Order: sequence, then C-alpha cells, then structure tokens
Amino acid sequence: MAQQNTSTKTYIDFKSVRVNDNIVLSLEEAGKTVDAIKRTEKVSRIIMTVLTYAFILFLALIVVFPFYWMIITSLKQNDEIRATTQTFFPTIVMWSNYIHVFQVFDFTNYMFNTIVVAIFSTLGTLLTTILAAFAFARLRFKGRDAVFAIFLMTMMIPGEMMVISNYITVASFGWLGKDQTRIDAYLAMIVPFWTSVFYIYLLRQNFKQIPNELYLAAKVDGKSDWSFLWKVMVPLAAPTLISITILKFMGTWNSYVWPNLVTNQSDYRLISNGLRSSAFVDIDAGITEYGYQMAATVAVTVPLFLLFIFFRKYIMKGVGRAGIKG
Amino acid sequence: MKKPFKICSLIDLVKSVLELLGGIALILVGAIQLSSAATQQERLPAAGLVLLGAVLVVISLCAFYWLSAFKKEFAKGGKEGYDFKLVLKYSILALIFAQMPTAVVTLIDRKQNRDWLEIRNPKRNTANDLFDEERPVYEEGYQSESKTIIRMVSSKKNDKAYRTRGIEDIGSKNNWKGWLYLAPVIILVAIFLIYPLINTIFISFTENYKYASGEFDGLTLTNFTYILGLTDKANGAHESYFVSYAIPNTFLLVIVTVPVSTIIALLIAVALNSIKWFQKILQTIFFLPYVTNAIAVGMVFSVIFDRQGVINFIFGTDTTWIYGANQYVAMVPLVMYIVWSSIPFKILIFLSGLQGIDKQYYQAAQIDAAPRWKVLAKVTVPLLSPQILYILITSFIGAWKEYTSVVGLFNGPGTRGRAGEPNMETIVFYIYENLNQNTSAAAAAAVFLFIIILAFTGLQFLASKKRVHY
Repeated sequence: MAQQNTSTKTYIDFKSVRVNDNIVLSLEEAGKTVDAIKRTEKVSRIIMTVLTYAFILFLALIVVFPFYWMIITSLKQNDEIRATTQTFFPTIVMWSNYIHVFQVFDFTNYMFNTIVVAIFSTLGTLLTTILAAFAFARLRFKGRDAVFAIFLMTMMIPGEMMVISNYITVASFGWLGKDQTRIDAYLAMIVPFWTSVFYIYLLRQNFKQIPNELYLAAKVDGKSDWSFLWKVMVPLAAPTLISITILKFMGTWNSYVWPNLVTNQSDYRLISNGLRSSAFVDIDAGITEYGYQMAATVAVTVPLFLLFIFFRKYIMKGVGRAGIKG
Repeated sequence: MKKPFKICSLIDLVKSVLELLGGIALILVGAIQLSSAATQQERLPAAGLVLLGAVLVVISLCAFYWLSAFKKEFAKGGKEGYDFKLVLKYSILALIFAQMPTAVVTLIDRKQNRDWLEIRNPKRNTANDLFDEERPVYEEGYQSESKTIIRMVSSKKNDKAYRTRGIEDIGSKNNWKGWLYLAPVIILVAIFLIYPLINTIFISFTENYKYASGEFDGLTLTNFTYILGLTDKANGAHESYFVSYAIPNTFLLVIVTVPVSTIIALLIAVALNSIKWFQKILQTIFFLPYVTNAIAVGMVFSVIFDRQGVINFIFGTDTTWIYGANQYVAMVPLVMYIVWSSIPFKILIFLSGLQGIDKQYYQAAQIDAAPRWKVLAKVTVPLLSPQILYILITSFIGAWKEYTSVVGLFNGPGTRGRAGEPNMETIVFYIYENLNQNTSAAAAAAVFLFIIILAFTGLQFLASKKRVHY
C-alpha cells in the first residue's frame, strides 16, 4: 500500500471513462471476460430453475396421483379396472357407482355418528382446554408449574399404553357390553378424548402473549376473572381455537382403533370403520368391486377436502404449530 | 464452571456410563439364562436380572438427561445468571436418579450464596441489620467493586400497593380459583391418562388378567418372556409372532421410512423455498396428503398396487404387492404409503424454519461462490437443525406406532387376510389384536413399546447435544 506518498501518486480519473468507451475488464484467473462470466451465470441459473421446477412438479405429480386414481377408478366399470391395459380416463363414466354405494354403504348413518362424536368431543375439549390454559397462563397458585410439568411429561407416553386401561375403565362405567345403547357408544367414544395436553400447551402459549395490562385494566373496571376470560381472552385467541376445532374434527374423522374397540355394532361406528369393514364384493363373481370401493373412498375424502379448502389458513397454521394429527 | 464441578461431573459421567453398560450386560446375561432355563424356579431370577438391567438403563439415561439439563442451566454462570429454582430442581432430580455428586456440590453452593438470597427479600433487612457495620448495605445499581448488578426484587408480601386500590394482583392469593379452573382437566387426565399408565404397567406383571372382572392369578414376570417367545404359558400356548413379525416389521419401518421421508421432505422444502412462481399453489398441493382419511388412502394404494393395477401396468411387471404377497415385497407399498402420507407435515415445518433463516448467510455463500450442494450441507442443514431434530423425534415416535396404514393397505394383520399368518403385524397391531383375549400380554407389549420409545428419544436428545445449534 502506498498511502504515504499520496501526493506524488496519480490516479485514473474514473469520471472521464464512459460506458460507451467499451472498456473490457477481464479476470486473470478465469481468463474470462466479465460478460462471459455473467452469461454463464445466467445460463446456469436458468438451468437450475428449470431443474428445480421439474423436480418439484414431478414429485407433485406423485403426490397427486393417488387422488387422481381414486377419482377415475370410482368412475370406471369393474371390467375396465381389472383389464390388462390400464386406462388413464374411464371409457364409460359410471356415475351409477356412486348411486350403488349410497344404497349399499350406510353413509348417512356413519356420517351422523362421526359428526355427533366430533361436535361433542370438540366442545368438551375446547371447554376444558380454555379453562386449564387460563389457569396455567394467567393465575398464580402453588403447584402450578409442577402440574404443568407433569402434564407435559404425559405427552411423551404413547397412546397405546392408555388404550388397554381406558378400555377397562370405559367398560366399568357400563358403556360397553352386549346391551350397549347408542348413547353409551357415543359416550365411550367422546368422554376419553375430552382433554388434550397438547392443545392446553398450545393455547397457554397463546394466552401468555396477551399483555398483562389488559388484565389489570379489566380489574380496574371491576371485571371478574371469569368474565375477563370469556370477554377478552377467548376472542383474542380465536384463531388458535379455530385451529384446535378443525384439527380435533379431522382427528375424529380419522379415528379408527378406538371406535372399533368400544362399539359392538357396526351401526354405532364411525366413518373410517364403516369404510374398511364394508365389503363391496360382487356377489356373482366373488371379487372386490374396486369401483364401488373407490366411490365410497371419494365420498369419505371429499368432506375433508372441502374443510381444507375453506379453512386452509387455519389448518396449515395450526398444524405448523401443533404437528399432531387429531 | 468451577473446578469441583468439573471433577464431580466427570465422576458422574463415568458412573452413568458404567451403569448403562452394566444394565445392558445384565439384560444380555438374563436373556441368555432365560433362554436356557427349563423350570419356573430357574426362570424367575433370570427375569429379575433382565428387569434390574432395564431399570439400570432407564436410570442412567434419566441421569444423563437431568445432569445435562442441570449443567446447561448452571453453566449460565454468575450469581445473577442462573435460576436457582431450576438448578435446584434439576439437581434434586439428578440426585434421585443417580445419586450425583454434582448435585450435592450444588446444594452446598446454594448455602454459600445465602447472602445474595437474602437481598432478594428486603423484608429481612430490618433496621438493625441496616445499621450493622458487618453487613454490606445493598442499593440498587451497579457495584463496581464486585462487578455485579444489584436489583431489589420484591417479595409477595410487598404488593400492598395493589391491594389497597382493590386491584387483585395476579401474584396474590387466588389459590383455590386456579385449582377450580384446572379441576375438569385434572379429573379427566387422572382418569384417562395417569391411572391407565400405572394400571397398564401393573397389568403387564399380572397373570391371566381378565378385563371384564379385573381378576388375575397372581403377579409374574413371565408376560415379558412370553411375548418374546422365551417361555410358554401354563396351558402350553406359545407366542412366536411378536418376535418373528411384529418387532422386525416395526423396526424395518422405523429405519426406512423416517430417514427417507425426512430427506425427501427437506429437498422439497428447499426447492419450494427457492422458487418464485406458483409457490403457494405447490405448497398447498404438497399439503394435501395430510387432510385425508388414513384408511381411505390406504385402500387407494392397495388398488394402485393391485396385481392388475396401474403400477404393474406402468412398469410392465407382474408382481403381487398386496394380497398374498411375500412379507418383504409387501413392505414396498407400505413404506411408500407411509412416506407419502408423512411428508406434508415435515415440509410445513421445514418451510417455516427455512423462512426464518437470515438471507445474509446465503449472500455470504454467494460471494464465496459456494456450490449449491455445499450451501445446502453447510448452511441450510445446520441452521435448520432444531426443526430437523423436532421432526426426527416426532416421526420416530410415530413410526414405532404404525398401525392404521397396515389396516388400510392390507385389511388385516397379514397379506393373506385373517386366515394366514400375521406377517405384516407391527407392535401396536399386536397390542390391539391381544387386547381382548390376552390382556396381560398386550400390556407387556405396550410397556415394551413405551421403554423402547423412551430409550430412543433419550438417545436422540443425547446425540443431538453436539450437533443441534439452537
């Protein structure tokens, strides 16, 4: 560096150089002009973008394919499904498959059961979750942190540990057995799921973000804890509550094991059980009618998809935070 | 950290490692003895050895965990730095689980710091104390001699200002109210979470438990050896499916599906994050498998993989994938289905993690002209490590509990329906199959699964200590 004798050193006057002068800068190491490097960079960027899109679109196709296949199979004739040459669009569109399925598969009954169970277990969960999250987030009492720690620890335990004993517990409540009524079956499917440690945790985090000043202001105005909870906190935490509701609903829609265990009649079971236990067998040929089967599958999948389309934002946000199905 | 702590924690470490190794050795010795034991009298001590070993392993893992939690808290240093309550909690837990010398040192340390503790409670500074020459007088502010910041922290008693105005401070006494709000949840958790947990562990040690009446023929350890096929029941029943199908199938699913789906999800998330057009739409498409009914899509996969289905048609093969298939061939559609259904959640988590990464890292990498794969390996993955750890832990736990996918795909425990051998059975499947007829064995299998998941999660936490950058 020759900073010392700046007075003697002469610099290139950059101001006098114009773009029109066509200066060509070249980097010695690469032996390429800047233009050439720019060009190769641009080309490689385009290639990279194209490759990325190709990769993503290919995988997106794979992800979508089962849905596509489900829909077109539900519209095919059985002969076409089992033909040696598979067709990617039905030659004759068989809407009658759906009519047949709604005659054979007791869709409305399963649907009714599922919705009843979903509504009541969601309501119960919301109530207990809101109360508990309020206590954990806002109130202070001895042993609060210890109880919360125990709650968090229970999240580590696999649900299968509980199923065995819960089955026995529910049986001792008289909700199982040969003389099980519809109400008994509903209770057995609803009550054990009235609490979810994970949702309590989720809502508590949300409640904690609500500033303390609001609470003190409400106190000055003479509000009780109870009315503060329902008038201020619950409306402010509405997005989380909606997420919880939808996830819980999806969980009921997907639940298979427990309803299967605690009901003794297929009339009382939920949609997943109905779907897997219905035979859809062609009596003459003795083979499974895939067309009917897939039509039933579409009927089960569509409501969830509608829910997803309308509540996409809440579902994806809720899952991103929650990460637990059901 | 101070020197005695270093020495003590070294002793702790050696001790825990020895305990872990000893526990494993005991399990092995017990298992060997069990397999050679012929009579009931010989089996009991051997089973006891296995149990002792398992307890040792669990204790040492717990000790590892609490010790590291304690160290992390304590390493925050200085008098103001760490939270005494936390350190005390961790040290007591470490003390309970592995009689840690470090914990003892902490308790002594706490006593030495009493002076500091007292200033947290100004009530103790009575008039006499303040005029006492011996005691230093604390004031709020920076003390240059000891280089510490002193801050007066009020205790509960000093909240009178609030109370006189009729505003109940949140820190005052709404003791019973808190419990009232918690009551419904505590009752439900006690009935449907805590009690079942204890009860299931209890059932796993009973002989011939009948769920309807709650009767059983005494306590025993043979349930565990029975499900592992080491001993037979009194009536001559022999269990071979758990060892020959349930454990290997579950293990195979765990070690294949978790890494495969995580890597694919990571690649998709990185690619999705780097594109400009259609990002939202593609994101939604990749999320679709999440909002489906597991049973329904399982049935779709069984149609796709049918002998006359589209997969055989596209690839020109004639393989039997589902009904009547070989155990390991049938694993292919099962693994594909599980991967397909588990990537949406992972992509979502990874994407939210990627969006939180500072762009400067990538600009720095660009200036250094780092190639893409290197940026992925040296920048993205390390910065995403908390999300990756979270995903790995949740999906490992999920993979150990695989059940509905098998039901959806095969409509039963095996590829040959109800009549054939349950060759696609998983551990959870075994539990549900035996719930009614053989409750004790089901409970033993559930406890077995619980221990595996606990040990696995603990190991993951240990392994991640070095590699995860929080």
